[in-house]
Amino acid sequence: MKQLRVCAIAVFLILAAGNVWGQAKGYKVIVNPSNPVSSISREEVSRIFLKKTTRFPDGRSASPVDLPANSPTRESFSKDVHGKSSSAVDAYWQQMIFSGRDIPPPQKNESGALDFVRSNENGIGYVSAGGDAGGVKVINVTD
Amino acid sequence: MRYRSLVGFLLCLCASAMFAQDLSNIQIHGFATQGFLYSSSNNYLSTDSSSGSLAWTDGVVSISDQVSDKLRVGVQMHMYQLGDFGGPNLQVDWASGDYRVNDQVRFSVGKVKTVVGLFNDTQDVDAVHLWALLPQGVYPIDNKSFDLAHYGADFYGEIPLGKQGGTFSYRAYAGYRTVDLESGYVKSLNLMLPGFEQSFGLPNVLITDAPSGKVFGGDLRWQTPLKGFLIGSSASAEDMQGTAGAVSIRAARNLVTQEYAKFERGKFLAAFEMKRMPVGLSFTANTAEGPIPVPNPVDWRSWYVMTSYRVAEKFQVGTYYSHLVDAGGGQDTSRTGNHSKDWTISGRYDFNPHFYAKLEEHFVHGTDIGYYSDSNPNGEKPRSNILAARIGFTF
Repeated sequence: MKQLRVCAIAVFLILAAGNVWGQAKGYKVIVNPSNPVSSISREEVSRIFLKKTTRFPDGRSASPVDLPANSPTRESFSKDVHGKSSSAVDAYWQQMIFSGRDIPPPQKNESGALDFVRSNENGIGYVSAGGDAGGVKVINVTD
Repeated sequence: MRYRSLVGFLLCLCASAMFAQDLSNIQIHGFATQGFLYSSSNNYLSTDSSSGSLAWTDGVVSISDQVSDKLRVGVQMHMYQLGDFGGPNLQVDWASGDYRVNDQVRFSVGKVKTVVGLFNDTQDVDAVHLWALLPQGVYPIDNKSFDLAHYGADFYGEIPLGKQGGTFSYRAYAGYRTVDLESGYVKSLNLMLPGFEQSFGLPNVLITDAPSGKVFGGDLRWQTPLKGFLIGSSASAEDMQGTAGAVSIRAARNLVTQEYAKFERGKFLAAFEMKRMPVGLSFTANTAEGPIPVPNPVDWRSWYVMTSYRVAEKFQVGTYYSHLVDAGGGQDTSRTGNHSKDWTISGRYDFNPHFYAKLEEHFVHGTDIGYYSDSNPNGEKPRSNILAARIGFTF
């Protein structure tokens, strides 16, 4: 019985730790409230923000908006979603821009990104984990 | 004339697209660099590098507009000066319209950067590379203007193969290219051609009109399921025709192939490329007695291996070995003038997201590429150490 209790506590702690780590992301991904998407994989978010795809998984058009290069939220987002630092993502976009292959999503500050997503039914962006998310929908990012 | 019309048309297209809608979608980017070359012996890349040369400047401005979800138009102007190459005039680097049917099918039309191997379409974008000079056997900087872009159309796309399959990318293109009069190819030919004046008594044998030719090619690359590991292959069929006074110059259609692999994870990068470029170059001296053909085949075979590591957020180091031989006409590749072997060590420091500096040392053996007889009138020594430094600003 004692062993069972220890196991239960251990499982609880592991789950709690996972939850804390899950919430420890420095950002939350937002879409327009009219968008039926409620969760999206990390890889799909990465493909949308690198403009490798222009659609949500359900086929709806996707218009990403990014934060400025010096934003700590962007650094957190880049490392978690792209697996690269913000400067490495900038280097990727420089290759795309100067080779004429593509241009990056528009960059706006957090309130600008919120406005963009609120007013654009295909908009997708991200804001800091504790930031305002009024008028937009926060979606889960899954592995 | 044709290409000027095409570029003019595209500029009008860009302008009309920009005026037709909200200007907030327009993005303007650019960069500028200043380089320095110093060589222990031989003057490199037509500069006075044995005395130290600052004749190495680059500047680019790029304007792009995402007209709609599917259509993007843009133009990039480029100015570069490297020794005798380039000049103060702005050139159109690329000017194209890109239409995305869906994620798997896209088209680009206009003057389009040519995707070959890992770095061809970014070889003139100093800001994105650790290296001041990319491996010259595969990406010779003095000839970049010919390889960089073509006038024509590209058909390309990317096909995700799922988590177990990675991503497959394809590209096919057709068009034509011109050889820049201020490039290494033309300079090399113009240094050879006076021999025709003496041998055949022909006057004014000099290239004054840019040679041009058709190009067809493609690229297939697979981002494998092993994270960060990419393999691919590029091939193109190209030809070229031109004149130099009474001498006709022709490069018969030849197949250029390039295979490559890259592994990039976290702070580490390793890459390998192998290129073969056989050119059926021939001259015809149009003498009073009739045409006299003078074949001059070239067969460049090159490869390199490189690795780099980001030591700190702002500091990156790397090394590569680049190897090139010219086996055209069965000539002896062990001769100094028929090969070039370059071992390089390099470092780059980024002061902030906009300013950076690079410093690298090349240990070169062989003189097949990068050296010109008019810059080295007393002959070329087989070995030379070259210091290359560059500072850059990008926005």
